Amino acid sequence: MTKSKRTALVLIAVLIGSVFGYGWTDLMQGRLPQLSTVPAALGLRKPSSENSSASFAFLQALGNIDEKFYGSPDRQQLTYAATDGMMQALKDPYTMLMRPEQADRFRESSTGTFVGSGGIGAELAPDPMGPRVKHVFKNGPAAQAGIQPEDIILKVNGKSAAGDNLNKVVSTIRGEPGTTVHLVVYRERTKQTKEYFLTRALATIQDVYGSILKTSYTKGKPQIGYVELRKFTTTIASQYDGEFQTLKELGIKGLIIDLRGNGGGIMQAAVDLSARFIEGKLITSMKNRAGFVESYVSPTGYLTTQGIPIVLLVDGETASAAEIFAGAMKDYKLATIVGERTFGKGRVQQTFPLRDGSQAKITIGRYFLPLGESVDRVVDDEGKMLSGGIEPDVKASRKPGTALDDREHDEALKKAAEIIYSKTR
Amino acid sequence: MKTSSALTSILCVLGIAFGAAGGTLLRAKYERTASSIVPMGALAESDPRVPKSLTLLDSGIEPGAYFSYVEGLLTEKFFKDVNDHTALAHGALDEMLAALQDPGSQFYYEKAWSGCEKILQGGAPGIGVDLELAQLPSSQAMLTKLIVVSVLDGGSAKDAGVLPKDEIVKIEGRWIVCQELMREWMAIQRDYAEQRLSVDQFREQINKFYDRLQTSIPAGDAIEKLLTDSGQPVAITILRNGKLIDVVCKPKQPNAQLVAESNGTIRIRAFGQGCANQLAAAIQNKRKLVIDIRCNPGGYLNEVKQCLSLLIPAGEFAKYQKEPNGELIPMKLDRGTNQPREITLIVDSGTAREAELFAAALRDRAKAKLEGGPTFGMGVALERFDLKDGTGYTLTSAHFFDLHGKPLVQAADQKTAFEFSPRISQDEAAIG
Repeated sequence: MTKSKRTALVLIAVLIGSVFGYGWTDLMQGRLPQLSTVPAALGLRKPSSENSSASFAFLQALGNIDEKFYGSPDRQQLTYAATDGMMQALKDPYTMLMRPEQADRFRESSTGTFVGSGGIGAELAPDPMGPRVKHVFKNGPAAQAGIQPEDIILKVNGKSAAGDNLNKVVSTIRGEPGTTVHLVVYRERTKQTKEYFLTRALATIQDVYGSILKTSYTKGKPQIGYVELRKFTTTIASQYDGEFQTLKELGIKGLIIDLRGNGGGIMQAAVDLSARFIEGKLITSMKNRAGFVESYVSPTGYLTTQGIPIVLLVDGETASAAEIFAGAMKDYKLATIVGERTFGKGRVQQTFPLRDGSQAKITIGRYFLPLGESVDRVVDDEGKMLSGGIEPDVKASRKPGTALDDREHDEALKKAAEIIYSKTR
Repeated sequence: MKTSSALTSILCVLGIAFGAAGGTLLRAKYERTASSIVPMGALAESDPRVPKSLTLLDSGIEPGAYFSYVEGLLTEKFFKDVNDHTALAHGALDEMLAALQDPGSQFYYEKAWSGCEKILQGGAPGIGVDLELAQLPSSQAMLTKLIVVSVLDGGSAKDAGVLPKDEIVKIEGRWIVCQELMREWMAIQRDYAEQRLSVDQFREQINKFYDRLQTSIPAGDAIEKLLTDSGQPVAITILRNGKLIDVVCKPKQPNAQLVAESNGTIRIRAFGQGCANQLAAAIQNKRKLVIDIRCNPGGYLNEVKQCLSLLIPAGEFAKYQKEPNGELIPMKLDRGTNQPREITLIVDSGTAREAELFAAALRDRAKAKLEGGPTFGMGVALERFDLKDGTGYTLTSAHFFDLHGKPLVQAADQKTAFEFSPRISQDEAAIG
């Protein structure tokens, strides 16, 4: 071997060794050596601030607050605030920190069961007068006492709930199972106020409500089943099975599934529910930032609903898992979609539980409908929607001022019934 | 031949080892020098760059471990590449400092921080006001007030008639998310509770309120707009004595000057860097001094002390408190002057923070005669932290007391006359 060849080989060996030595920490973390930092290491340029860690700035500021600030703030709250602020800086509306209490409520809404304490068995929505009852769960204390949707809770245990934060009011309504809570409830329709003493219980949150559609426009015509899906929790498919079985036994000739106001929930729940309509087919695919695609196929052996016309009702609040279900039904031409353009939440979140009970909710990917379409909304600077969502086959909406449970004057519902009748003729 | 191959192999192995050692050392040097680059998840409170005073959270977790774990999660899991960790840091600091609910403690984005810097150089950036974001302790985080502390010399707000203690509630017709907006919300609630509104009227008013909220501007963005030179007129609405007043601030380019002298009066606009040197030059060979610190929003404590050392003897001149209900700690000058001078100090309600300390010290130690109106009543020390990326934040680090132990901070719930002397009035000057 010539001397020059040997020198070249040794130089190559030194180079390989250098790259290996420099990039060892990167290789251990499963990434390629960060050779772009070499000029900075050699002092040829300043280290890039792009890679600087927010953790360092946070700890330095926390240290400064500790050392210099006039007062003794709660460090836990500061840490939560900072973490939340960091997550907000990503400008993704779905990426957020859930503090322990919020995380508990979130777990409840995803699993469909009360976590920790008992309640009255109702879903409440914020209203300036006090919490408004959105839904009353079957067999729960509120249902047994006769509380109805749209009732407004004016007082809890003698204290006015007007203008209070919803979570704050809910925390006073909730408590040890078996204990009593005193409510003053106002019914806007009758303009009457009534008092209730309810015994708190560990209710199962009901997300599926089935009934026979009874209105003037269905009178004397074949029976139509009407199923409201409020949220995609882990129990939605089994709840649907129960409700649908009852409707089937009543001999329904068509089915309307109401997804209006359904903000979604668990992605797998949408796949599980889809299996009642679509067997062994792609329901959705999720693509993460590395481009990795995960396919969700409906399991076989759960097909229950077929051979009858189906209409899905949607609106601007139909989002996420509800859009996955509606999108799959649309792409496989198994249902007519009636209503308004859906919200367009085409992003999937994963929650990461943290040791103190809080949870980080992070958008991890985009999902696509079976035909490859993304529903993710695109908005302009003023928040006006430019594209996204699922466009209904037939447009229809509730007239402003129509109560949510007023089926008689619900234009979209009426349109859905007409479509079913046109197909059953 | 064999010997040659063996030698080459040995040299290659040595070369690899040498290269690896060199590479490792180079990487270590890089990690050390690039202090802003921190490997994700590796930060802990044991890091030498992190102050030692930190302890664990109630839940038994280190704040740093918690935060950096979530930062790592975002970097690894978020559906888009997370490259700009500086933006994450800004978001974190903004929320964390807001959570302190203290008017003096705030994070400033680039433009607003640059505005703050200009104020400390004697300038009047934007519309020419120094502001504080008073956050009232409340379960409703929106209860904030954007208060004018000082109306700066040469600024457009001064020409437009803005006064210290005015509350700015609107910019360009958009409401600032502030207390005034929430006051409206509460008024609707109250009118409904007292049955002055029917359910329909109530719903209509609430809907209008939500529309207003929809187009409102966050207080942080408002501060940035007000402290930035846009070259355009800025229309603002101020709340003064319960009345809303619309004013237009026309753009101006005032000269930045810390200390200026005209007609025998020495004007100190702010206690910025170099203020003491300029004051020293201005007072040379003068026995009678008229010093004007109206609308002086304070500045660096060190500069205030250096200024005082030109005017009063060494020794104690005031007190401070590091924490609520803490002991009063004497503030002393190591050096001072024994040269007797007759000092008249002009103050007003825009004289705030360290400037109030300056006034109190001159009153108590130099028998200065105070003229003008009462001061702002916010005698606090602000610690300034420059983050080297154009942003920065302030923290209230102490409350000032005069030499006799009277606070220079107006109590938050004090709406009318207060007996202690944060306000340094002409009458009180006689005390000295």
